[in-house]
Amino acid sequence: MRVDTPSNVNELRDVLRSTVAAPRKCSLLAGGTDLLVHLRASPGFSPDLIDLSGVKELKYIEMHRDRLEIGACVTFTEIEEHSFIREHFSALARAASLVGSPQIRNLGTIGGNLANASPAADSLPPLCALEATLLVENAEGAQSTLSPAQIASAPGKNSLHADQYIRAVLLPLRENLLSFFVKTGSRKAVAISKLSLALALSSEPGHVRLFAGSLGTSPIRMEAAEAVLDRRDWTEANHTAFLDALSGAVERAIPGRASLPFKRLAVRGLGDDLWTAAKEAISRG
Amino acid sequence: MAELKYVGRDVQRNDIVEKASGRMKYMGDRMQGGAAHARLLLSPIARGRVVSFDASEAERMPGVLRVFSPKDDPGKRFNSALFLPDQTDVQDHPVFTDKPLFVGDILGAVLAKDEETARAAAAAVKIGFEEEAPLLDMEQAALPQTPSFREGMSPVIEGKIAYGEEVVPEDAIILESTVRTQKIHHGAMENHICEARMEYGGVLLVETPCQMAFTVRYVLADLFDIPFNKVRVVKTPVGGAFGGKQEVGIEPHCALMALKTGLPVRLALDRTQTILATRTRAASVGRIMIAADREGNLLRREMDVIVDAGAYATGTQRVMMAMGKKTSRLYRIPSQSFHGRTVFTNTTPAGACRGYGSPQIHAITEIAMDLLSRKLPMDPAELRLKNLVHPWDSDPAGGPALGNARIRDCLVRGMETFRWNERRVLPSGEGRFRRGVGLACCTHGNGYFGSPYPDFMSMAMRFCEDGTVLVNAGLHELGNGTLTTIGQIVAEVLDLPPERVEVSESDTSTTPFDVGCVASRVTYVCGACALELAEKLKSRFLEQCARVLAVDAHRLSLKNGEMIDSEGGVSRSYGEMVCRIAKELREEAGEYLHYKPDRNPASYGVHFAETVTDTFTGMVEVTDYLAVHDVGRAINPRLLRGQIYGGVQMGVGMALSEELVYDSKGRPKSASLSRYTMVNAPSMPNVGVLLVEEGEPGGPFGGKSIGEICTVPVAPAIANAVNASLGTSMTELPFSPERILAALSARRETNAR
Repeated sequence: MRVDTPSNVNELRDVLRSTVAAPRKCSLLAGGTDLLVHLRASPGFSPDLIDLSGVKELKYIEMHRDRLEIGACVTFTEIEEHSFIREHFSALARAASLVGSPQIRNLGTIGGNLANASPAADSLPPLCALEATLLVENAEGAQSTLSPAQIASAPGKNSLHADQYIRAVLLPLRENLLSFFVKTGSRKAVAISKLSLALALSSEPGHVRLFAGSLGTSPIRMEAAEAVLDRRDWTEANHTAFLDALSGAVERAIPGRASLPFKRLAVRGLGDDLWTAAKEAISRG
Repeated sequence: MAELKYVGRDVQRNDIVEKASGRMKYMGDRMQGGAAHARLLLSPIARGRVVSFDASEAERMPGVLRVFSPKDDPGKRFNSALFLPDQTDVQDHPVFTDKPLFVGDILGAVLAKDEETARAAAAAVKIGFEEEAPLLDMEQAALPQTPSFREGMSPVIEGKIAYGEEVVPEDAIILESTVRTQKIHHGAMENHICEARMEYGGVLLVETPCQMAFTVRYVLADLFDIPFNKVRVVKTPVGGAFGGKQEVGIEPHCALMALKTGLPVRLALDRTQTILATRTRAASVGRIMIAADREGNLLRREMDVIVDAGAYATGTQRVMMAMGKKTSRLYRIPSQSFHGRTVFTNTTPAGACRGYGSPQIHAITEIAMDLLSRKLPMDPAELRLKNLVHPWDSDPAGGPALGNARIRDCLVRGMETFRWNERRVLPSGEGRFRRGVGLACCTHGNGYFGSPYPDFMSMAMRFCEDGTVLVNAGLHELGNGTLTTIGQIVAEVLDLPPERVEVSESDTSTTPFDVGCVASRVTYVCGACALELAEKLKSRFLEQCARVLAVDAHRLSLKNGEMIDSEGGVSRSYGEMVCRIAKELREEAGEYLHYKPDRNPASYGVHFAETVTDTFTGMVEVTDYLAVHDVGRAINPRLLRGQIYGGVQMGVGMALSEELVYDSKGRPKSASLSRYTMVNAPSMPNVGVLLVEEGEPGGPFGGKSIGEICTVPVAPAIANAVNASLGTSMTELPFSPERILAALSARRETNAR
């Protein structure tokens, strides 16, 4: 097994170019909390590794006039503890704080989480709700963008080309943006999500984005439930309509699946949490 | 009794510095080198036949020493629980099989110069199978018409325990229920590991973190036809066992490879292999009928319990009988029958697991007790108080007398501390979250006395030339503080600081026989042996001192490391006297004791749980907890509480989240710790501990067992709290979010009708 340890983006591009010139099985190592487990479990699968942990251009959080940029190798701990993210993109900070254990969050990165393409990836639903864009770069330095919902092409499989890597996550800044993330697993902490919901909304009418995780390859948008929230009317009837809309969306998303009877009910619990949190936050102004 | 100096005190455990600083050398911490590394080849199918075995690619890999296949199986079958030839447990277990009976069954192994090579080579061995449909459902396996995979062996092993007349009065209140308990992985931090090598003189040396070194010796000597005195089994530091290292596990495989190659062999499993290929807590289905009169006096109880052995017999039939034996030792019931059936499925073999059937049978009986209390209706605590045994009761099924059985004190004092009466009648709430309280009682044993398995041990103890004490015993420290508590007992009698007492662990060639750290016997049996031997050594030492000093022994006493002659006004250190005894008397200041207990009283406990259930997501949170135990006397209260905290944590897992489940092809769906949900710190409640210390005759300073019983009542206490808060009658463990929501949906549908 060959391991490359580029220390900057130029060196990374060189390595990627060499893999294009002489194709070989190659994996990007961005934390390794999933990849190393996978490698150890499958001794037959021994790709060359390109370790991104030393690439300095991937480890930054930067404010711009209209957006926040998070480098692909920023860890969940860094996201969880970042005061601006906590304040303005609280769904993402919250999701980061619920990934695995502290040890996992110290190593695991947002780029790694995205490229790993797990249906249960906790960063995906908030990024979808927050209208994030993924900045992808190839060996020649050509940049393109992807929506978070496009990164997974199948469970465990991402849509990146062999010479591409995720450079950063771009989060647009919006006025009065509120966001929330809730999940449920098999225990309170260090749990793989069985189901998660991420909500972002601003005071602007029509701006409500609600996504569910762990229902399919990519997060699923809950449009009917968004419409109920967009009434911005916190009555008991709307509350029930909201929960019913969530159950309906789950039923449409995973018909016939063994987990359906549980998830169509459990989503109401997560929905209730979101409803209460959103209602309180909005009434606080 | 005079004030005790060391017993009853929070003496610091002997290995705390090594363990807390990470310097303790478990077998897995040994540097590579000096041994060949083995990697097991496990069956990916649940039932079938090996039709091809191609190791050519693996054998070509540099560093590969040998590949073992089913052809290397010695042909003889063993039973991993058996330790004397009179034991009739079915011997059905091969070392390397060509007819796998569960996913994880051991087909062979790869031996290589290092672990990485062994892993890579194991992945390169190509094995072809002819698959057969697996039998996975234990209730189906119990049906006579179900075809068995047991090939000539009985597909069902039955056991019955009954007493009293089979009469139920016509006007009795009858509760009938069926309770299901799940298959559980032990989850010890240390995965299974073992080393075997040939020593000079043709001695097979096996080092293993085990609970019963002499059982390992028995199985290996018997299986490989080696004289018993040529097999030396040495117990190494254990990183958690919980019964999972009680039965013989991977030692036969490791030893076979060492015997066949002459190489030192190290065999280490990873977590997935430990989950797949070792042992589990047996799943059970218990049908139960309880008859009571209107005042809540129990009249008769009938239990029909199916226990799932998995693919091999192992010790499961013993677990089943142990379940039955608990049922006549908690309540006064005029008549009762227990009918057990051990059945076989193509799943991971069961075996010992903390409580040895006790958590399963108490889940069945204690959940049913609450359902009965609802039917009467009556406060579940009051129902129990009416029926619990009293101190010195006998066992109506013929087991040993119960001894100073203080379960009633546990319940009464626990109710007060937990404020049971007040909290039980609080409304559970109307909204999304429902609060409730529940309790469960339990009993467990103190050794093998009165069972088919002989309980005895021997120990040697001597003073060294510096006055320190060496205890030579075949003990097994599993992390539960055995060596510390034995040291405290000895230190108390010989009056010297516990850190000056060194207690050994099992080495079948150098320590006297002890059956092992099993059956909750160590404090009550081994502790009593240590106490009696220390007293014997003390008399001998004083008598020797008297001869050296030419005075009457009655003038002499031991105090804080010194021999005191009160009349002569002389005090001498133990060490000085040991040296004088050696020189002047040509004697060792040492003694030996053969010890056999002549009773086996019961330990008791009551646990109280408060739960809050999220009726939307089905998540249950245990919000408050109290464990009350009749321990006779706490030798080391801090270590004892530690046992209880851990026991509660295991029990919460059994109640709420732990379960080995299989898909339709028999493949475990949760063969890693990310999928197999054990309870971690954020999900743990504060655990209050209340000890009832009324002294148990026969135990050292009145002490009796705690290590297993503290996990026994947890699941039913939590289940009863959840059922009380939701108005449900759930009886299938664990109470996962999925099951909670399904039960709530079913209840809503019933109510709507």
